[in-house]
Amino acid sequence: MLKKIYEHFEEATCVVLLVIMSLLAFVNVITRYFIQYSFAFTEEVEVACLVWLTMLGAAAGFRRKIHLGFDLLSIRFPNLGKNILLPLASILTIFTVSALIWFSVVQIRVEISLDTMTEALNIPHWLYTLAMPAGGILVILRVIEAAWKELMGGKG
Amino acid sequence: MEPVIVFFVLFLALLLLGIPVATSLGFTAIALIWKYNLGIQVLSPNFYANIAKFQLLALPFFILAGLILDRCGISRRLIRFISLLVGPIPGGLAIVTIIVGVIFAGISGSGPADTAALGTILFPAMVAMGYDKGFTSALIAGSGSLAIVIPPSIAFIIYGVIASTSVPALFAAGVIPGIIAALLLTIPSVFIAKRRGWHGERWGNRREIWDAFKGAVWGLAAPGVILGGIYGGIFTATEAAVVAVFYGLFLGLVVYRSLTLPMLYGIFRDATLSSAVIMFIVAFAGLFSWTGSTLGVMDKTSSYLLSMSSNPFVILLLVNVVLFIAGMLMDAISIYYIFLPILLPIMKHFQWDPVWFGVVMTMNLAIGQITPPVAVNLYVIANIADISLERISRSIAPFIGIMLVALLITMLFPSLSTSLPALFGLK
Repeated sequence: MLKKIYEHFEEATCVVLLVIMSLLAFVNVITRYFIQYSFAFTEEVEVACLVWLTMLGAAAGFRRKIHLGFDLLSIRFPNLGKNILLPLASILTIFTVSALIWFSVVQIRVEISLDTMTEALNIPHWLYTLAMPAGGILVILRVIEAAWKELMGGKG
Repeated sequence: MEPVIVFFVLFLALLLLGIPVATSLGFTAIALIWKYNLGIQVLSPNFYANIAKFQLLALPFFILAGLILDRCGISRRLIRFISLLVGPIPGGLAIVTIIVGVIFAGISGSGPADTAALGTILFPAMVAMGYDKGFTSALIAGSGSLAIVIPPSIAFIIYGVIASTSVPALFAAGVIPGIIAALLLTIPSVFIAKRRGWHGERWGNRREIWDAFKGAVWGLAAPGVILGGIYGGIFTATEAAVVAVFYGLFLGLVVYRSLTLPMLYGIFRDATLSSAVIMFIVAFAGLFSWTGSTLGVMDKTSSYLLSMSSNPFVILLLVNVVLFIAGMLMDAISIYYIFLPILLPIMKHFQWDPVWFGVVMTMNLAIGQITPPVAVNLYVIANIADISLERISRSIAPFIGIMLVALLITMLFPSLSTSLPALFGLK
């Protein structure tokens, strides 16, 4: 059970987010069309969900190895691919995402100190910004996990 | 070293080494922001803002709608209906593939999704009828590439966001060039099928056709629901995408009763994964493109291109050659982010219509989806068909060739793209 939660945590959360986004957007179409009223907050929430979905889904994507890349070299030269290119790709991804995490934490601290609120719902904006560092940490975990599996898998 | 050179060489080197596209873009951007002191704090708000756009919400919704409509059984019903109509003519199932490809392109906005929808059913059916595996795979991938030219289209949404062009206008503009491309695709298909002796089964009788029509009518109506809503002025593109999602759910849960809860979970999961992979690229590609513009790399590159000739058609051809090569190596989404900041000043210089240019660029990138070595549609069908990429690559050439003809027609006759948007009063 725990293993299942660990493996599919991001995907399940993403499914919930997409269900929420679809429902909000659909209700908004209906109300706007039939009673000429649209809820201002739906757009804000949908967009924030999209940011969370992107970060969590990206993490799940690294676990499933579905991110796009030019893999001709590693297919032609499997040894080079496994021993050099895969570790290089993992390190560069971890570096890039670490930079994102670092500066999004800086942004969150600024938002907290300035009490930045969201426009429509008037809740603290860092709840939305948090998607980047929180999702970023999961991305790094999944990158390491995938690389580890790949490197170990070949030996057995 | 010149920032222009560092910028493109570093990115290209990482890309060719097989570093994920999102990482190649993000790493290059961060490295240059750091080196040239552009203000690294921009990283987080820029990344966030690249995703947090209302128009981009259409992307996960259209992906979701396409998956729901495919898996609730519409593709199968459409294929049966069209097969009965096409009958025993040479290349029957090949023509069915192209027609259903067009209808499905009117539902889904993604080339790989369209290829998967066609491939899972048509590949086994065609191989059973004696069609060659390589030809069948190439044809399905080629028909799938129509998905981003015929609306709705993820490619047009991205182009609209970057070039600040109306997405409904782009959608309308893609219809005629998309259908021309489909018609052209039938030429090599029928020609090859005739020579190899492949033909359809038989005509359906009136009763069969009527029954098949009743099953397929909901699917045939889907593009009308999606696009009719947009052009009736009822919904925005994003809203139309959501309506398509619920239309699909209504079919799957009420009309056909073919969707189960575990299937729904799988559909939503696959939609989020595909969307996240694209949006992750979008976020870093936006940062990459911001970095290039701030460094002046984009402007310098466009002035360089402009200095090569004062003849607009020469430049247009040159741009398309560059885009074609880029399409062989990269995914369409990154190409929009990297090249549009370079191309927008050129478009302005020659006063090119941005809607028409959007169709030209998208048609070019649609061909990129079936041009090896990097060709998403070929990957998808190679997986379904369980044959090697090399084998498909040998059969894809006639389809690439005929699509290039479609591209040339789109380039030469801008009114094919601009007349429908004008008819609907869209700009």
